[in-house]
Amino acid sequence: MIFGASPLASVSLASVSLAGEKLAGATPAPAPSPVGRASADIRRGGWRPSTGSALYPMVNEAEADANTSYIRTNTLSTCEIALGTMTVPGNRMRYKAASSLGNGLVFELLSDGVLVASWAHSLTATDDIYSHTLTPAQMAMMTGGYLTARMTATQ
Amino acid sequence: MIDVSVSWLQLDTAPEAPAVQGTSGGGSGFSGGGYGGYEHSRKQQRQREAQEEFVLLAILQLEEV
Repeated sequence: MIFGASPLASVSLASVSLAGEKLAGATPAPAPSPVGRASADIRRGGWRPSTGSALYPMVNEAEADANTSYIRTNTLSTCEIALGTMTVPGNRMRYKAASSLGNGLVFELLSDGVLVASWAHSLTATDDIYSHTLTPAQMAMMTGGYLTARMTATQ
Repeated sequence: MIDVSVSWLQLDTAPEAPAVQGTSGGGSGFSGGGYGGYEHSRKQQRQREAQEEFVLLAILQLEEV
């Protein structure tokens, strides 16, 4: 990722004013999907999109791209993005993250607001894909649930 | 100073590990998982049964001699 291309100057007033507010219900729930991808912002916190005002379009590509879009924070902040419901609970959670300053990320997967799994990483300046396999018990927790991904920047 | 970015996330189903074709005698070099491991165990069991049948047949032939 090119960190020099900071989105700071292009942060819209809407995204600033919505920081920290619960946004659930702002977007209609999508139909169940075989793949859980970002479909709506639940909570933006201090996270900002590389373009526009919504976070989820920055991270919902079918395949990880060359970081042409991303979300970013300069504070110890939490955002939450909806993955929607899945026809069959997935068993592999993947995400691509980086930190030019060696900060950390706590990534949490929730179903109907209940924590299913949590992973903590010390990030590097290189965009790495982190992949986790869910246990059958964790998958059972997700059946029929509305899934969200909660991300918190840490020191 | 904090700088954290996320550029992609996805929850999906990992492709099943391909079934590993074990060598005769089985058990060597296998590191698969999921259904691949299940199929491998089934194959090992069939190989053991075949070996047991062969030994039994050999014993019977010896007794006949």
